[in-house]
Amino acid sequence: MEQTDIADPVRSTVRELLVFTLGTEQYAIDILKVQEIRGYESVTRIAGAPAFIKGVVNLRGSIVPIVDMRLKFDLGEASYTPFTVVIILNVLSRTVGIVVDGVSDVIQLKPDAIRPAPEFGAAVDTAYIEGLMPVGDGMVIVMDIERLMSSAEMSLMEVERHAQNGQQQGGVSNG
Amino acid sequence: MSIDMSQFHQVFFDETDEHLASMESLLLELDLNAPDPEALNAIFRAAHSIKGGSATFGFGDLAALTHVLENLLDRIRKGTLALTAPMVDAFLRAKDVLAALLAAHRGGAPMAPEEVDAVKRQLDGLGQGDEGPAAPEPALPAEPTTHALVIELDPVEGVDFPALVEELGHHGALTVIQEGCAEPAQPWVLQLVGDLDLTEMCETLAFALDPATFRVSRDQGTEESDGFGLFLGAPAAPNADVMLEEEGFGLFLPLEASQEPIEDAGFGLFHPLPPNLALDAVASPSTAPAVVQHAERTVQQASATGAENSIRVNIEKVDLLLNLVGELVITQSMLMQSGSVLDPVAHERLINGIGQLERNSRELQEAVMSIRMTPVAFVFNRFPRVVRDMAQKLDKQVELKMVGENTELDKSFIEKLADPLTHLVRNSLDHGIESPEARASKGKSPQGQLTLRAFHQGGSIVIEVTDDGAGLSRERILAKARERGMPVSDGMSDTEVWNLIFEPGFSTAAQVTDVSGRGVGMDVVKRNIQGLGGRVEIESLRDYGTTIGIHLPLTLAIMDGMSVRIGQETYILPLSFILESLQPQPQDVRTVAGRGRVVNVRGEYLPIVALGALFHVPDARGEPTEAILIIVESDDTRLALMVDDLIGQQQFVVKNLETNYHKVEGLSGATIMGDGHVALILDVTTIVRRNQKQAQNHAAMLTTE
Repeated sequence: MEQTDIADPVRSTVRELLVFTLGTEQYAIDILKVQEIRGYESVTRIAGAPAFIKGVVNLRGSIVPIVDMRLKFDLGEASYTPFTVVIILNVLSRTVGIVVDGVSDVIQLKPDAIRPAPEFGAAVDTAYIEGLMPVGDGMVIVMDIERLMSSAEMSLMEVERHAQNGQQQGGVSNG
Repeated sequence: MSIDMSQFHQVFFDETDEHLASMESLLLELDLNAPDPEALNAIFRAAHSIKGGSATFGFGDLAALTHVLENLLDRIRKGTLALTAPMVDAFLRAKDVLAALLAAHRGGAPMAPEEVDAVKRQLDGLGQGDEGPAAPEPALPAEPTTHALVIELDPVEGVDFPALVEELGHHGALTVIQEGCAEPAQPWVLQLVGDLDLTEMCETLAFALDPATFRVSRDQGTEESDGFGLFLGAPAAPNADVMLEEEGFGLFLPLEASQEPIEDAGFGLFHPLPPNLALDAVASPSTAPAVVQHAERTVQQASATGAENSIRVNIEKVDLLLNLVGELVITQSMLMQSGSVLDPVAHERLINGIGQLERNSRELQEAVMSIRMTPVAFVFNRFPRVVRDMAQKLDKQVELKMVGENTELDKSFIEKLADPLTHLVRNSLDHGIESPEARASKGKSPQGQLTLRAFHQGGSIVIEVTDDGAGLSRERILAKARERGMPVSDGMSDTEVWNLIFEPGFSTAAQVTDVSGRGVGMDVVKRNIQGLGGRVEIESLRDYGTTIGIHLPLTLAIMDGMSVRIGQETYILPLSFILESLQPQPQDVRTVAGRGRVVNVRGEYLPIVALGALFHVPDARGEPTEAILIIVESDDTRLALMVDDLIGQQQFVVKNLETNYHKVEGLSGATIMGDGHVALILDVTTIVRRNQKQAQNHAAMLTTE
C-alpha cells in the first residue's frame, strides 16, 4: 500500500467500474459517474455542433446532450438500432449521455491492479486515461470520464471559461 | 382605490425571516479584528431590506428599530466606527427583538415595548462612541422570566397523569390543587410557577394530550386562589377575557383579511365544546374560564395556522415534480396510442381507465405548472400603495402606470423581484421625480409619471421602472466617484457612468433620508438580479427621466409560441415577435444582387432569412414561393423568416440549454413537445441582429471596393 496516492484518498479504496465496448476496445469508467443506462432514442439535432454531438434528448424534463463516442474516437460503426446503448453520466453536476457499442460488465478496481497507460495504443488521448487493467484474458482501458467530458475538445461545456470570466469580472468590480 | 396589502404580509414575513436569519449567521461569523467588508455590507443590506419592507407594509416599530440599527451598521461599514464585541452582542439582541416584533405581527405574543426601547437606547449609546458597559441594561429583566399558570387536564383514558404531573414539575414550582378522576368526571387542576409562558405550556402539553382535553390560563389572582381550589380559575376569567380582546383586536386590526379565517377557524373549533360544557357544568364552576381559555387558544391556533398556510419549498423539488409530471404525461400518451389499436369492446375497462388517466394527468400537470407560474401583477400590486404613501411623504404628485401585469413569471423570480423593485420605485420617487414646483419651472406637468412595465423581449423577460423625472446627473456621479477614490475619467460613456451607481455604498443624495439615499439600493438591486441570472440596464436623459430595465432569463417561464417545421425538424418561434405569416406570390420575391432575396409585403421590402440554411437543416425548402414566410419584428427591424410549414400555436415551457450543454447562437432555449421530443426555441433578436450585421458588412465591403 506504499503506492497509495495520499492526495486522492478515493483512489486508494476499491472502486467499481462500468465496462463498455467501443469497436474492439474495452473501456471502463467510474460507476459512481453513471446515472443510468438507456436505449438510444431519436435526438434533436443542434445546428453548428460537431458531428459527434448527436443532439439533445428529453430525459424526464431535462435537456441532455448526447455524444456518440464511436464518432468522436472513430471506433466501430455508428449505426443506431434498438440495441444501441446510451450511458447517462453525471459529471460536474451536469448530465450528459454517451453512445457506446455495448455495456458488458461491472468490475472492481484495486489501486495496485492498474498499470500506467503507454503513450499510444488507444484511440483516446492518454490525458484522459487513468491506466490499463488486465481482466481475464483481455485488458480494459480505465478512462477519466470527468476530465474527458469537461475538455475543450468535447465542446460540451463552457464551465471553466465561464467561471474564470466571472471571477475576473468580480475582481474588477470589487477593486 | 383600495389595495389590500395584507395579502403580501405573508411574503414580507417570510422574506424578513430570511433576512434576520442571514443577518444572525453573518454576525456570528464576524471576525472582530478583521471584519470582512463583504459580510458587513451583507448585514447592512439585510437590515436595509427589512427596513424598506416594514416601512412599505406599515410596521412602524420594525422600521424604527431597523433604522437605528442600520445607521450604526452604515458607520461601521464605512469605517468611521470600529466594530467591538458589545456591538455584535447588541446587534444580535436587536435581531432577537426584531424577530419577536415580527412574531407579534404574525399573531404571536405581543412584545414588551420596554425591551424595544432598551435595545434602541443600547444601539444609540453605541453610536455615540459610548461603548459596551455604559449601554443601558433592560429595565425589567425579571418580569417575563416566570409565569404563573393554571392548568386543567380532563381525565382521559390511557394517560398516566401522575407521570405527566411529575414531568411538568420540572418546569417550575408545581402545586396540585385538585386531583382528577374519571368517575365522576373531575379534571386535574394544577398551578405552576415556572419558566414556560402560556403558549409554550400549551405547546408542551399538546405533545402529550389532545388539545381539547386541557386548558391553560394565566393565574391572575394568586392571593384569591388560596384555599379555593375549585374556584381558582374563575377570578381569572374577566382578565383573560380582556386579554383575549386585546390580543385579538390589537394584533389583528392591521391584518384585515386574516380576521375572517380566524373566525372561521374559531367556529370550527368550538364545535367539540358543547358536550364538554354539559359535563363541566355539573362537575365544577370552572366552566366559564375553560370556555374563555379555549377561545384564547383558538385565536392562537388560528393565527398559527395563518402563518403556515404557505410553505416555502426548495425550488428544486418543484422542478423535479414538474419534470416527473411531464414524464407521466408522455407515458400516458404512449399508453393512449397503444390502447387505440385495441378492440374497444373487449378492452372497455382498460380504455376507460386510460381515458381517466389522461384527464387526471392533465389536471395534475396544470396544477403543478401553476405552482411555479405567477403573473407579475403579484409584485406590481403592492406598488400603488407604496407610491401613494411615499408621494405624500415627499410632497410630490405622482401617477403610477402599470403595463403588462399579466406577463407570467416564474414564481421564484416573483418573490425575489419584490425587493429590487421596491428599491427602484423608492429611488425613482425620491431622487427621480422632482417636486411639483421644480417640474413646473422646467415646463413639465406638475404630476410625475412612474411606469412599471413587464414584457417579453428576445430570450428575456424585461421589467422596467420608468420615471419622467430629473434623470441621472453625470457630473454628480463622477464627482462622487472621485471623492470615493474610484478610477474615473470625463471621457467615460454614459453607460459606464450610470453603472457606477451599482457600487456598494454609492449615493449622490445630499441628504440621507428615511426613504433612500444611502446607496445600498442599487447595490442590492444588482446583486439580486444577478442572482437570478439577469442583468440591470439604465437609460437616462437629463430632465426626460430614467428607465431602469431588469432583464431576466426565460428559464422555466411559459411562453406562447408557434411551432414550425423546417425539413424534418421542429422549431419554436416566440409569438410575441410574429407579426404575420404569408405564402408569397412569385412576383413579390425579388433578388437583390449580393444581398440575397427580399419580399414585397404591401409595398415594404423585407429581407428573407432562410432558417433551413441558417441551421443547416437537410431537406429544407429553398424556394420562398413553396415555403411560408413569417414576418417578425425585433428592435424595430422587420424581416421574413422562411420555414417549410406552420404546425401550430401553443404554450411551451422554456428549458435552458445551458444546464447541460452550452449557449447556441440563434437559440434561446428548448422545450419538450407533447410526444416527448425536444424542440429548439429560436432567438429572433439574435437572428435579426445577425442579419443586420451581415448586411452592414456587405455594404461596407461594397463601399471599400
